[in-house]
Amino acid sequence: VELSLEKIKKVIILAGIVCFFFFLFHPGIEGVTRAGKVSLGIFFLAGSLWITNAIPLAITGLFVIGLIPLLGVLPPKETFSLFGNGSIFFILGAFILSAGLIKSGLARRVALLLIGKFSGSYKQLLIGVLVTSCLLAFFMPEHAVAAMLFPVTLDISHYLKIDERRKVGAWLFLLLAWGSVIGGVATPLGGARAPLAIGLLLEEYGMRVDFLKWSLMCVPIALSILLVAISRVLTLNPKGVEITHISEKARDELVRIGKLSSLEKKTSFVFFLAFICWVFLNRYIDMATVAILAAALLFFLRVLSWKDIENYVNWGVILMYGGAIVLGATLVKTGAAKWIAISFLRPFLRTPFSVFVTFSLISVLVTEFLSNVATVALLLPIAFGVANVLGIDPFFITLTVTVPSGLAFCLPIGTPPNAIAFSSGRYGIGFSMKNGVLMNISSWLIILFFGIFYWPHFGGR
Amino acid sequence: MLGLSNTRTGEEAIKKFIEEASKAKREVIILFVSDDRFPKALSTWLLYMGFLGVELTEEVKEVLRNELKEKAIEKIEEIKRSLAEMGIPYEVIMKEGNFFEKLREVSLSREVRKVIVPREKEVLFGRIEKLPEDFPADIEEI
Repeated sequence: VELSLEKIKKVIILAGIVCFFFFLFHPGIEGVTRAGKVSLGIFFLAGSLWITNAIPLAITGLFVIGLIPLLGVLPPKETFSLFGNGSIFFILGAFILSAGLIKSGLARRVALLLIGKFSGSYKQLLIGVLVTSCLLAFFMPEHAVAAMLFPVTLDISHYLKIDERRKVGAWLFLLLAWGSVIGGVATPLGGARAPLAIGLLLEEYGMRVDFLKWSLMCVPIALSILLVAISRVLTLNPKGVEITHISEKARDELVRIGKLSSLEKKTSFVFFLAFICWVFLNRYIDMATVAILAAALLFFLRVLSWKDIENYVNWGVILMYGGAIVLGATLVKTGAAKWIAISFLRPFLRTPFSVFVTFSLISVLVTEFLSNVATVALLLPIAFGVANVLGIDPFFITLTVTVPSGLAFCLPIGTPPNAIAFSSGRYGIGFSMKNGVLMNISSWLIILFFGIFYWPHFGGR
Repeated sequence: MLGLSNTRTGEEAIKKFIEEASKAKREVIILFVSDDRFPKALSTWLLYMGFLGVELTEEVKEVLRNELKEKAIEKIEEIKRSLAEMGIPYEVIMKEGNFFEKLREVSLSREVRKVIVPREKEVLFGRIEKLPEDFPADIEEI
């Protein structure tokens, strides 16, 4: 299996290189400028590198930023200025805040409190893990939630008797992944794809979307999908599993941790302040400004040191987003995105409704195999191209691609929470596929429902 | 000898090992190698994706390594119980490092005739290690 995967990767990279030179030396494509033609070549090359992870995603981002001025698509000054998009700073701030939540121990305390409340029976325990990971992912990146809750979930599984562990263990970890994934689509804090999409929207249309507006659109979807996942848990019926001691263990652990520490108090204060600004002062302060000021405040209050940032924040990620925003903006500006959409998807893009159905379905499918951010980086510029032709509201099309692209439930390669939960070894691909497909279908239908009946009331048409 | 690692714990091989041990009625060895390849591959992959900082990835790696080791030890306890019930003498050896290197070392030092190893399952984050060709004992992968 692995050998054939390696071969597929090589074929994809080769195809990317061939496409790059094809568009670079093509005499002319109707309706596409020279800059557009070259940016198509860069798009296919970068796409092949992002899909295969041939080089780190971040380096592909840098490579893109270098190729665009080198091949004369945009002047260097304009290319590099796209890198200054507010979303990049929002992501940076959100990562630093999340480092504060983890380092201070506040996130773990909240997790133990929530799980302790839910652990009267095995079903409650499973729902507890699901709801806890989901709610935490409203406030911190989903991958950090999964990484932080992974040891907690392992501890819980160790409290179970061996036969209980066999019956419930797989679900415990699968629901950890599902909860993180579902919560991750709710607010811009839950994952990097929403800030990236907001950044692309600002770059292309000058349209500013604040924290509250994005959350109002997405929280009801996340809660509905959470209800579907809870319903799935309620249908489980493993015999002979009686869990009564987990809440005591959680309580013991909370006693061991002790009272709220000074670091936790300071982190709570900073997070509360940032949240108030994001929700109530969004008209006056940009969400990226709030994120970086809150991050700085964590340093003033001595919650974090520079070493923590070096350890917890992956700087490479910033480069990847920079590259994605620059490439996305270039594709739309040069008309190349429109050309891709018309050339490859014409039969499916006759009406705004068919665009909505097609792009949401493609995003749900593609995100299972590609990282969420790469899905947005590759699909959103193309969707913008279509939106321009059919006069679809850019915010609506942004949601159409971004929300489903966060919902990878089946494969461990789709998103870090799935990979982390899968690595527990408690379940195999078959188990997550069988249950994940149902979640994929349900969540896609939920998105269609909200897209038709809910988003239009908030200006998304 | 039965060769186990944190990524090689398949039931089929263990069953075969117990069957053969019950026929041979002589001392057997259970070797467990704590192999870092899988946790390392996952950790590298997560960083590669560009989503986790160094510290978080290290934490995940450490937790995962312990968990896999603990699961394998649970399995060894089950095997020990089965062997004890059948009255077959056994020795458990624990090592850390590369699975096949340690397997070779022990096979040579203890003059092992036959080795049974479970097939490796995790293929998503790392490369499956193939059986070495010039192994000093009969080796069967199940």
